[in-house]
Amino acid sequence: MTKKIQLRAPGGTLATLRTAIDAGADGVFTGLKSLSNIRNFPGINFSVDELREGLDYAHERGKEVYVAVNAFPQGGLVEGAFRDIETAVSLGADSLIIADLALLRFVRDNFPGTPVQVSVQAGAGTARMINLLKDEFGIKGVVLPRILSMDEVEAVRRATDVEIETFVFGLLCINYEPNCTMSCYLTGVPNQTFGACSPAELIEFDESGDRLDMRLDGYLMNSFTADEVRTYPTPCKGRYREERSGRVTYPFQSPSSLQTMTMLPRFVEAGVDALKIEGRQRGKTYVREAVSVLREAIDSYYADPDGFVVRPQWEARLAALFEGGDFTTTAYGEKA
Amino acid sequence: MKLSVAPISGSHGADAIVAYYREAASSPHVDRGYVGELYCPKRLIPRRAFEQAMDILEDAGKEAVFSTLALPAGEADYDAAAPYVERAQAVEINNFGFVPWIRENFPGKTMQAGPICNIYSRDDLEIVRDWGCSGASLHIDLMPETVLDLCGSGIVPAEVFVHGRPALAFSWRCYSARFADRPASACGHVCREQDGLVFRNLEGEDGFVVDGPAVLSGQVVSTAEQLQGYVQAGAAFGRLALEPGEILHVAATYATLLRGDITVQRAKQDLDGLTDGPVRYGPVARRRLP
Repeated sequence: MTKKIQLRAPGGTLATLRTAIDAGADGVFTGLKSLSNIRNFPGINFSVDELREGLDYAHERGKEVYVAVNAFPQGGLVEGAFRDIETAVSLGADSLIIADLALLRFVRDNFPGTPVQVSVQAGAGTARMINLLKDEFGIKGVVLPRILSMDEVEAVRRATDVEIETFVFGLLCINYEPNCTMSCYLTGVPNQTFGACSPAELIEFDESGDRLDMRLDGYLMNSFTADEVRTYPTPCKGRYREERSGRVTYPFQSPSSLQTMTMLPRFVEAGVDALKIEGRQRGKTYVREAVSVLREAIDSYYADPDGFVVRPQWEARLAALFEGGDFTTTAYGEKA
Repeated sequence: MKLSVAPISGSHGADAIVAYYREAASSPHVDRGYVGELYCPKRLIPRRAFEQAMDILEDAGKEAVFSTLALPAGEADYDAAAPYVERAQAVEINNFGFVPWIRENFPGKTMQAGPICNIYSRDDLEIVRDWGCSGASLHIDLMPETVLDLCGSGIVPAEVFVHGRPALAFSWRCYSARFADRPASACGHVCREQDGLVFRNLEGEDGFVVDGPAVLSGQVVSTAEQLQGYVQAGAAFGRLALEPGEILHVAATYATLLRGDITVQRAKQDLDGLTDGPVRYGPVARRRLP
């Protein structure tokens, strides 16, 4: 059998990094408290000292830490991203996660040999694009966009020899990530530069009577009754009325999250190198449960590939991490 | 600054495609037409229509540029692009995977980086120039100061977004098929029947327009107020993303504004009158976080 598929987990804080490693992750992805990191949310990310500590914790246990410098810097922010790369490399990060071409070139020219994974933010979903980035910048791996079918994942695998990582669990970005400006359209804040969409500073929850209104910079994205599932506060997960029919619907994404455990054998057979759990903004309980369930599932598969079945208790534990929402295998299953 | 017309948006039959580019060709103010389909490979099927569109533009003395798909799913999508790439004077790259494909199959073909490409800095612009792109259409996610900086960089001629409903996102999902409860694989070109689904929020405010896999802005966006700044910074082209039937008048208004024959205020009044629904003035990306 080929090399065992890796399990990579989010580590938004030092506490969740430790939790992920203790629960069985092979590697943890994280970021500095900086605009160079696309998950620049309040309350998460690492200072330099915390990153050093996190790296020590992981390396002492034979695990890896990947540092995301994956925003698209503009307007004088490029230099800051260069400094963050220098910091991560000097501290001994096992890999950098990068989306922007300028940053890929900076690593190639200044830190040759430093492993780089192309971030999901780059939208590198075709073998031709991935191989271009390999030829130009010597990338080690790529995190595939969450918009590919399993057939497309397999086609990419056949056509490139870089390491392939796919998301297997967590919240979904339903749009092609490097080009989604729905949040920017509503707020004016370029979300690929300033820390992902729907900045926390601009989200409001207004409770009125039995309703909860969810707004982004004043714009109503959704309104919930007490018994309805609350969606994540981004425009693509909002509820809108179609003008001609008057139908109120979730036109982009219903309240659902990614859960692909039934597809684990296909990921392995397809030659995927690593599975990724979404959620650097998540706390210790989410990280512990998601990692430990997927660890068990992966180990169970390798112990008996032909007899692998998804255990109901695994699904129940993962379901408990999302309040009431449904799960989907997203594009990996069928393009809807 | 010259004016360009973006690829026709929405799903259309051959006659409508040809009529759209005939309209663009008849405008004395349009210098370049982008021909193609960015989001749905199924819409590239009326091949003769797209080739005819390029003929019409060139016969009128315009530059015809083929725009590639933003997300080619596999070799079939590259193969489908081949006859258009071969035919076109230049190709607008909307996925970097087309760069090595064109180098390999159409060496010497003029390439430009399209608005889907993530170019955010001078460094990015240098890289795509080094890959062979002789121009770049700038992303709507760029702050005004970044747009001015890149236009003035002299690295390659830059195109800026000027008017229309920009695509804010696109997906593996076909949102038109989803609304009709059909799988994308059996969409039946339902997007053609829908002709753009307008979604408002629950308070009735403008939101988004669904066009197949793409999400367009609910309001028409205009950067008329920024236009002179773009010109002074050195922008080579201004991109108009227009509906059939409005090309002549909208292009004429911007051309008049560019010549300085009308004020911005007057141009805005004219554009308001030419556009179905309110026009939102100002760039999409316009502020940093506090």
